[in-house]
Amino acid sequence: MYKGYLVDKNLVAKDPHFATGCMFCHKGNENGGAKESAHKDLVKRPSDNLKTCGMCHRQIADTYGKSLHYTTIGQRQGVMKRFSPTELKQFDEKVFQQSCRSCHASCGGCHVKAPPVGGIGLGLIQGHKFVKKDEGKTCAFCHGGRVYPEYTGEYGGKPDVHYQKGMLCMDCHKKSDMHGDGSTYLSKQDVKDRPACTNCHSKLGQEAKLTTRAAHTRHKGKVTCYGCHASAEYRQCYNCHLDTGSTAKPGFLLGLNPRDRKTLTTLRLIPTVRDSFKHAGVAMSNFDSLPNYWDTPAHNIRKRTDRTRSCDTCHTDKTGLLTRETLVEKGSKANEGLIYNIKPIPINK
Amino acid sequence: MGNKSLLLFLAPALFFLLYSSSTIAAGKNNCLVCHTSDATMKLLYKPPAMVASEGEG
Repeated sequence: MYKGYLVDKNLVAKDPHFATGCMFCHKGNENGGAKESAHKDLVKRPSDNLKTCGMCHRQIADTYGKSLHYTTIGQRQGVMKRFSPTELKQFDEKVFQQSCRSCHASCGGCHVKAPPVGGIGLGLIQGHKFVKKDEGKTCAFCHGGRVYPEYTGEYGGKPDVHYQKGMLCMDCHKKSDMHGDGSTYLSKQDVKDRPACTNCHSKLGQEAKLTTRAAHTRHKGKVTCYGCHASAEYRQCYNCHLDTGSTAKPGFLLGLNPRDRKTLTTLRLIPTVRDSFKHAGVAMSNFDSLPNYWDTPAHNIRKRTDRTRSCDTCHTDKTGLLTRETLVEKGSKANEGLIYNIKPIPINK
Repeated sequence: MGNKSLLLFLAPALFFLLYSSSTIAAGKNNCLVCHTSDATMKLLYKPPAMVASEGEG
């Protein structure tokens, strides 16, 4: 859409980013006259080179270069065990660099212009304004397939209670979560001081209401907060292929956390299938070494859900719990290890 | 000495007055002639070819 390339002329006079002129960042030739000659040697995404922004924002550029948003190493880490050493090398060359890293690399991808997702780019955020924070855009450009619409209720169900109370992404996720803290992490699980429900809800098990206190005390360390407080179905993606993409439908899944195999939590289906990277000629000899589900912090939290209202939802009806029958077809053999056989509550206890 | 101090004081003020962002951007930048014109951008824009893929997040 052409509007994605329109610069708001009112910004030019106000914003110091424009003081040095377009060519300072974008190169090209502002005296070129015609489009082709003006765009010769144009740098479309100047902030792909972190030094561009780092000239002024040096500290942020330094930490950002090591951040998960920039390295996208978490995506590689999540799938690498499925490959043999030779396959992993092929994956790195043919898929990771070409695909995974293509949209996650630049400062401008969040603060100036939406990265193209699925070939569709929305263009400049606000007429080339350097947007510091506008979660509906700066975050939702990339996280708008699953997390963001689940949070706002646009994916179905009710909005997350935190959203209804006026909280947005940056109220829980700190600036250092976006820009990195200078450490090199392999996964978001490793990040120090990452958001946790208990950062605010620190007095669990001390509630005045007896049933609430009992529920929090009994489930502590056994069930995650999401396990009970995720309120609705969330997006599950299926059958992803490098050339054709994936399909999606809503679902609510409870099972053991694949990272510890003992905590019951909300799970999200990973759309990687045995031939996901066939298009690039990359096989996955060790596909079964990882399950098709990862633990997910479902962002549709409510105080009251079917599971907080009645113990029977899980302990008798087993609603949403993974079973052999509900596992994804032709999935990994590791999936069975996530099934949790929940026990009924003994009546006399 | 007095003239030197006055010059030192006036130099930055003159610089910011003459070379503020608006002065530079509006006066020299031909990129903005097209990129701030709705009609021109509509005329010049060529939609990219689409590929099938699913949004992440």
